[in-house]
Amino acid sequence: MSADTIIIIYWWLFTAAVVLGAVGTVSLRSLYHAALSLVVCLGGVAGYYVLLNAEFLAAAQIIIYIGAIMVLVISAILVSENVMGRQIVMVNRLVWPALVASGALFCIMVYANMRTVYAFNPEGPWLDSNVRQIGWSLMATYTLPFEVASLLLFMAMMGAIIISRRDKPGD
Amino acid sequence: MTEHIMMALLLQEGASLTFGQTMSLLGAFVATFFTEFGPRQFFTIGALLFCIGWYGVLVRRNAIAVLMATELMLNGVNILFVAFNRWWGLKITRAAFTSAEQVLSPVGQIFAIFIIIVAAAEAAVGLAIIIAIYRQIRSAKIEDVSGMKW
Amino acid sequence: MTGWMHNWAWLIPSLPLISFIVIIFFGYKIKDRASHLLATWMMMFTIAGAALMLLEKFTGAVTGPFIQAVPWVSVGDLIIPFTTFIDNPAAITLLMVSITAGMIHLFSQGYMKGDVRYSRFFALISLFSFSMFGVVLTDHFISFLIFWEIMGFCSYALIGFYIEKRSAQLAMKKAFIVTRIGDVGMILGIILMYYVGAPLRFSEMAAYFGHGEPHLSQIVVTAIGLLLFCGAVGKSAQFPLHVWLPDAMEGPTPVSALIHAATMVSAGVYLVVRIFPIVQASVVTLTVVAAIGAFTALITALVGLVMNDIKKVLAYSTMSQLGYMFLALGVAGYTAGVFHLINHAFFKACLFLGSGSVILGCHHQQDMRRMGGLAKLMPITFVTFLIASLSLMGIPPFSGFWSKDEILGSAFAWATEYGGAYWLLFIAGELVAFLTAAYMTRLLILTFSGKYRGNDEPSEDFIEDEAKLQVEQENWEIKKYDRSLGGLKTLYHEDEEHEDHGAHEHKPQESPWVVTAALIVLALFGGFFGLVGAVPIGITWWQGFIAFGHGHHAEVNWLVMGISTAMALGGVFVAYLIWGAKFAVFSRLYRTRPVRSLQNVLANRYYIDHFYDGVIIRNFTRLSKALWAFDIWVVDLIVNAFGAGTKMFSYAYAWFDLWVVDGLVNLAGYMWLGAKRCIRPLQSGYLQHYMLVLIIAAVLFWVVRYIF
Repeated sequence: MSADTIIIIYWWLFTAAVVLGAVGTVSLRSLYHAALSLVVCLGGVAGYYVLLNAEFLAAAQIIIYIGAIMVLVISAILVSENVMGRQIVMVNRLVWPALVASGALFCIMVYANMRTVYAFNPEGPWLDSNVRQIGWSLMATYTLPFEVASLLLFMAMMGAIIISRRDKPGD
Repeated sequence: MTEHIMMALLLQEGASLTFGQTMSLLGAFVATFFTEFGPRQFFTIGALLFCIGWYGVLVRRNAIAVLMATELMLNGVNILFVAFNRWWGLKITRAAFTSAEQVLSPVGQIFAIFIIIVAAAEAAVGLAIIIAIYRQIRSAKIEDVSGMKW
Repeated sequence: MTGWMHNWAWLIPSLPLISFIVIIFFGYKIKDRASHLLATWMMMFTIAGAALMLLEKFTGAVTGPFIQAVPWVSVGDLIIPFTTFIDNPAAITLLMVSITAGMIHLFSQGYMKGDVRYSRFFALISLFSFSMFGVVLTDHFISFLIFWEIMGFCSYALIGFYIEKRSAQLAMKKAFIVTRIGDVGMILGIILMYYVGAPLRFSEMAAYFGHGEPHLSQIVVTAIGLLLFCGAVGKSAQFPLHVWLPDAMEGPTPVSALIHAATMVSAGVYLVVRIFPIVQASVVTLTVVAAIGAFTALITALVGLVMNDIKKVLAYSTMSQLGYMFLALGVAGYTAGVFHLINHAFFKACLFLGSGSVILGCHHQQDMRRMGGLAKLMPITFVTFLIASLSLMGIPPFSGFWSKDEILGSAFAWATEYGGAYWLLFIAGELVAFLTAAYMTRLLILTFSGKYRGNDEPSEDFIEDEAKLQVEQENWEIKKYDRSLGGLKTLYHEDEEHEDHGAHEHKPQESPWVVTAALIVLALFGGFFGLVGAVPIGITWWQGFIAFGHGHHAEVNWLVMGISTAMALGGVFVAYLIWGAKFAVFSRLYRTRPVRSLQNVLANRYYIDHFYDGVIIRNFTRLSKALWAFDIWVVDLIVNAFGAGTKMFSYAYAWFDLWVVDGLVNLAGYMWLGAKRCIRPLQSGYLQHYMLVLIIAAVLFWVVRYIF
């Protein structure tokens, strides 16, 4: 097997994870199971990143997305009561219109994809340490967005705390 | 190789293709999934994730499920960014931070990081809201929160 | 000052006008005393003014007729001015009117005392004086017409002064309508004059219609003259429009004196005097004037012989004398006519005021059957009355003799000149002199001689007459108020309340000084004014003063004088025989059938009133009822049909508006309602619906982009 073939096999592996996880997220009856399948999907995406020479991003994805966000979601799920109770109907009336619409959108995008001639650079990716790349970029070129992002996170944290606070008599 | 077939098919003159040509194009397209490693495949998957996520947003009744579907959409977009970066990233010569002669500009990845950051913030706030609403109306179903109707 | 008064002549009518306006508008605030003072003093000023004007004419300060004009209406080449035209007849007439009116104002203070409508009376006679002065002074026919009509209105208002009395109401209507009929003729005459281009100003008529070149055909001149004479016939109560004057005695006595004896009825004669050039230009007109005058004089004198009401006798006497005046003018005796006009005004006013004094003394009793023996009880009244009566009868040397004689002289001269039927005029004139003396003597005997009969039992025919009036009044009250308010008994003066016919004795007393003073003044004028034209003192001068060349100068005719005096004395003698000495033969004669029926005919005034009522009035009433029916059923029907049609149209229009127009408008609204039903669900409030819409939009966008 050539290097190409191995990559493709890995690609297919990750694709399976992603696709199956995604489908599971939107169609599993139990919310908890849906969350877990989302975890699988996110793991697959992280694999994608590795294939795309974005190692740092893959790590970040796993740590942040799976490790933080999904934990948060799962804890929220556990907090809300009726997660154990199985709902009889857990999709609403929009199933078929949504299917049609999403399907149409996908078809359009696929069609666009199909009809495009991708002229990409045949040369190598000029690789360096990804971490160094990203680190230098964040600290030097994109400092302002970085700081703003920290601010954003801070505000989000505060907002979340305030919103979900129980009403105290002193409020 | 199949990529070249596709390119050859696509680069024919004439804007519209005949049915046969479309079918052969389709076949080649599908074939590239198994033979090529290029942007085309990643774009397809990104689009697929996006659409599945949108479908989930439309269909699911529980608010947290809708949130999770939103995460799907965001991830799909992330894939797209990173894929673009891999194949169409800029060549930076004599970058300050490295000893190598030329490196790939990591802009797409930076953007994907920011998307992840924002997704985190949004998930936190969204869950806080859902919990607050849940406390109020004792239900996590989205269709119960329809105060902004006519 | 040369012509000073003439320049300010327009002040003379203005003074009573001011008095009228003040009393009418402020009569409630100023007391009775103030209103009569104002009115009377104004009249005194006018007397002074008129006298001054005459003086100016005498002294030759102003020679020739005087004209002063103020333009009032100017339309193209039609100019109607307010002008004064003062020639000698006008000046003399002005003096007569002012003296008479002034004395009557004075008299009214005594006669009308205690009446609740005292100030209104003075306002009305002031207005009347204003209009009479206007008639006398004015030059243009249109302004003459205006004043003429104002006089007619005042007469109407004053006859109906006691408006609650049914007889007064009927009388006021009758007076106004009958004179109006005459006025129609007069207005037609004015229109005809204007149409043929004759001048409408008295001052210019002499030149236009005079001897010389006749611009118009004889027929037109005759027509104009006859039409204008119609007005005189109406206003001066000549046959056939004489029926209103006896009924006009329903007004208070001063009114009868002023309007229906001295001034307004003279206005008809004055009219003929003013338009004399027109009348003289056509022999036909002259003859008609004279004939009507003579005929009226004769028939009314006969009726006056059988009247029982003192005022009615005097009314018929007035008509008779007016007939005399027209007779005079009709035989081209211009001077005689004017002379008699002036004289008659004075002594007739005196007679009326005297009768007023008598009535006052007898507690508002007008019937001669209940009077008598007043000569001793009311001496001043008796003496003045006697002088005025003698003047009227034409006994020398009082004024009436001179003027009457001149009339008869003119008639005689005319008859000798033209012969034939004109002798009838002269004979009629002499007969009237006889009759005048007769009825006046009867009046004097019944009123002043013998014993006072006011306290005796009333005779049967008196009770009958009174009952008739009472029934008429009560019937009208029942018709109007649904019940009788008591009839005539409740209508007299306030101090009449103690009146109790026959229950207690009362003696007539002499009237207050305001009454007697007026009587004395008028008697002086009435008795002796005529001496200015007396033969041989000043007749030529008088003729020269008045005539200005009109008419022909009559020489002294002793034959005529003798005949007329004989006639007058004969009348006195016969009346004395019948009513004074009361010979039995005459009483028997009285009871015979022919005399009785003659008496009835005369008493009913030849049944002319009945004729008018039955034939003319009834048919006019039928005609007006028919027209009313036509109006209600045809005209109103058409009008109401239009109304109903419009209403139906409006209903249709409303339907259209409601269903079509509003329908269209509502349709727009409903369209939106329908649209709303479709669009509203889009805003369901569900997040997922919104997202679906989003994705569909995106899909559509790309599809459309790819296809097109």
